[in-house]
Amino acid sequence: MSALMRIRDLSIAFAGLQALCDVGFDLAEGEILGLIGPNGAGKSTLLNCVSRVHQPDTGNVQFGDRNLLEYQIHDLAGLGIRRTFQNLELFRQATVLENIVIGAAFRFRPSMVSDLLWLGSARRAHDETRVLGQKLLQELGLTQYADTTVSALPYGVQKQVELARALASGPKLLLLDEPAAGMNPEESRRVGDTLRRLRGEYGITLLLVEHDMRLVMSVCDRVVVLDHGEKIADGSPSEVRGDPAVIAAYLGEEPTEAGA
Amino acid sequence: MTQIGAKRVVYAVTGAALLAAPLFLSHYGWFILCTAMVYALVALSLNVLVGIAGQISIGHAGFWALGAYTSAIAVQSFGVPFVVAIMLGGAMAAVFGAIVALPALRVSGHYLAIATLAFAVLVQQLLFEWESVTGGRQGLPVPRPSLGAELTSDFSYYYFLLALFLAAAWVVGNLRRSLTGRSLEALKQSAVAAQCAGIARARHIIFAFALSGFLAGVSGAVYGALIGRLSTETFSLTASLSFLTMAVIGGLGLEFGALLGGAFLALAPEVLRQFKDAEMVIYGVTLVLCMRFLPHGLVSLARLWRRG
Amino acid sequence: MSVALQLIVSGLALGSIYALLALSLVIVNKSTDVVNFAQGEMAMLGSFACFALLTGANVPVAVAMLAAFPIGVVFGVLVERIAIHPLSSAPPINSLIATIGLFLVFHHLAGWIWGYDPYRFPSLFSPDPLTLGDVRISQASLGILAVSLGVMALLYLFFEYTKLGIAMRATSMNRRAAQLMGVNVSRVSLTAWGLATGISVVAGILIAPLTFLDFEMMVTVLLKAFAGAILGGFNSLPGAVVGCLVVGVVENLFGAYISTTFKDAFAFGIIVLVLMARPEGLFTRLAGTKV
Repeated sequence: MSALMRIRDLSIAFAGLQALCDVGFDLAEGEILGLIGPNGAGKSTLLNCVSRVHQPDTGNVQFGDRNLLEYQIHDLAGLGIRRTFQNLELFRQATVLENIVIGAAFRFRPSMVSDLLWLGSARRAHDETRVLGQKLLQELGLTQYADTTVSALPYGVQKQVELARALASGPKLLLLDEPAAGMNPEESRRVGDTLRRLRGEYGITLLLVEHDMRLVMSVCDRVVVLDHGEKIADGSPSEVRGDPAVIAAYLGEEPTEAGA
Repeated sequence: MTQIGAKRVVYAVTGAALLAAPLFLSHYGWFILCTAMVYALVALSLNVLVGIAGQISIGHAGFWALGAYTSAIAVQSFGVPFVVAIMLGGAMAAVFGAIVALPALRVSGHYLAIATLAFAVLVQQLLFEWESVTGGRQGLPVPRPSLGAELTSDFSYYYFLLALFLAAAWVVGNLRRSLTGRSLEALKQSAVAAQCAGIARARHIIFAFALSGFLAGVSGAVYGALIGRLSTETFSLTASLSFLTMAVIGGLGLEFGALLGGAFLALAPEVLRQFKDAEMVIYGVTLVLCMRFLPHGLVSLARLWRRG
Repeated sequence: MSVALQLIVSGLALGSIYALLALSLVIVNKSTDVVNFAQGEMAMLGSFACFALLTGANVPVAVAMLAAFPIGVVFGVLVERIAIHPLSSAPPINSLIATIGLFLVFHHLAGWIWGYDPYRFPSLFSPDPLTLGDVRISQASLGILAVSLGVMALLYLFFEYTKLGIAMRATSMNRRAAQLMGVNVSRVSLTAWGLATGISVVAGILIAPLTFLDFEMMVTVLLKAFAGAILGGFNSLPGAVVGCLVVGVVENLFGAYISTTFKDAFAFGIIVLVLMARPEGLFTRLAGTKV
């Protein structure tokens, strides 16, 4: 498996606080990589840098033959990179289907003039994105929620919708920020199944930030550990679990309910 | 009756009323109908900017002015045909719309409101000082157009304006259900998520401002021809504030709301005139009460408003 | 040189009046997340009220002036309770439009009650200029500066050392946390509006002698206060003050040396430019949302 993404020397500071310091690792194609670490370690920050929400101070993120840091946030979807968010960033006043449609929209965009005059390309884009969205909802077992407004849905379903929205454009790489947050063990297990299915059936590479150790250990091929903005371990789940530096970093932490 | 059925009935009745109205009204009534159409166009422009794109503007009189003066000067000094002139007016306002969008890319909410306010005041001042072109204190005369059929009477001009409004409403309705419109609404609800989904923020916001400017500019252009004379006093802060308030009172979520807002702004002075000095005071009080009790506008009263 | 100095001093005086209004705006914004577009009009009405005391009730000048702050406080509290508090859970655009509505109400209320002609408003200060060497500085400028600085000093003490002031600072930093710590957020909101309006009426009576008292008096002052607050950073009290002082001085110099007609346009130009180039102003950092 070749490296899909290479992160090198990634550093960023906020108001004098070093959030990331020379972080680097590879992500192999078809891999499921877990990014873990105590609170405040910089995990979400790293995801934000890769997805271009933040501009790092130094570093390099090689994706194929491109340096992602030269691109803007909205370019990434076109490159096949999508993400979910720690605190759910759904379009809350829209329906589930509309959320998915937006997820697929950029692929189909007709010109703005065509949209204003409701020309053929606008109508086609409208119809095709709906069809695509409905198909995806069916594949993910969410059809019954299609016309429900997102804000009315239970948390667990909202998480699924956000994932579905990210899948709508057929991405190669998914960045997931705490996909199992707020879930009980049964729900987490289902998340794990979904992630394995995404890799197995759809061939998507996954980089996930997680606190749920059981999920991480069972699903991830490799684990990278951050602490105070630095990488302190990088290896298989069992290697990392026994690493004294990792244990020390977590000793200052309360174990999470679903964790090891 | 289903909600869609009820909607269709209301639209049909309103359509019939709009078409038949001049037959039951006096000359002055025709003039009021015309101003209602002019204002409804401005309300549409704010539906786009505020309702769909989630931006703010308390300086729309600036776009209105740019459209009005560009069109009037095009007709008077360059002999441009009327329909082309109003498109030019819209285009000029659209260009400035795109420029005003630039601060909007960096700030939002109150900061943006202040920027639009500053823009409008600047436009008004510059137009006032540029006497050679705008006529300064004497104002600029604007002739009624002739489009084959004479439009000099308010009766026929009303039907022209009605057609213009309906065309504009159709375009805005298209925008709302199209991917561009949905992208704008997505940006409004979560800019980060929308961008991570591949939606280019800058392009969309500039587009929204430009389109909004265009509609407001066209409105200004036809307003000039309605009134017959342009004076920079008209394009004041009060005008901008009136525009925003009527758009909100009518309802930003539906084109029909723009019609209600336009009617409101055209009728309010008539109804309130009897209160003389207290007119604007009552207007302001209405605004505050509306925000308190009817935050989604008159349109929500009729329950015509569909989600989003 | 002496002319420039005079312009600078009077510019500082003018700027300090803008600063008082800007402080009102910032205090309200920080405590309640509302930008009060009607702040200038409230100042104007309050000034008219003082004027009414003076001419109608034949109250001595000093008393009428001292009444400015308390009149403003009462006014601010009333407006907050009646129009603003009920909207605290609605979307922000609703509050914005409500303050626009209030702008229209107060603006035209003044015209309705007192008419549209300007009135002469007495100045606290003697019209004779002070002579220092070959420089003549108006007492009014110095007096205005003194009063403004006095108000700002009192504000500083209030925020630093009083329980209510500290509670207000806490609320403006994190409303939720302040609430959880037992701060009565509703009372903070009330206080903010009362305090801010009191200060703005003081600004009103300071500028009224210079511009004549009429219903239009505060409209451009509000815009310049915005310009200064944005320049200095809308969420920073000292930043807003410095920004307004700069606006006052530059406006004066611009008006004298370049053009009086475009003086106002210049201030608005500042607003647009700063918002495009550095929206957080000179002294603050724009907070992004955490994702």
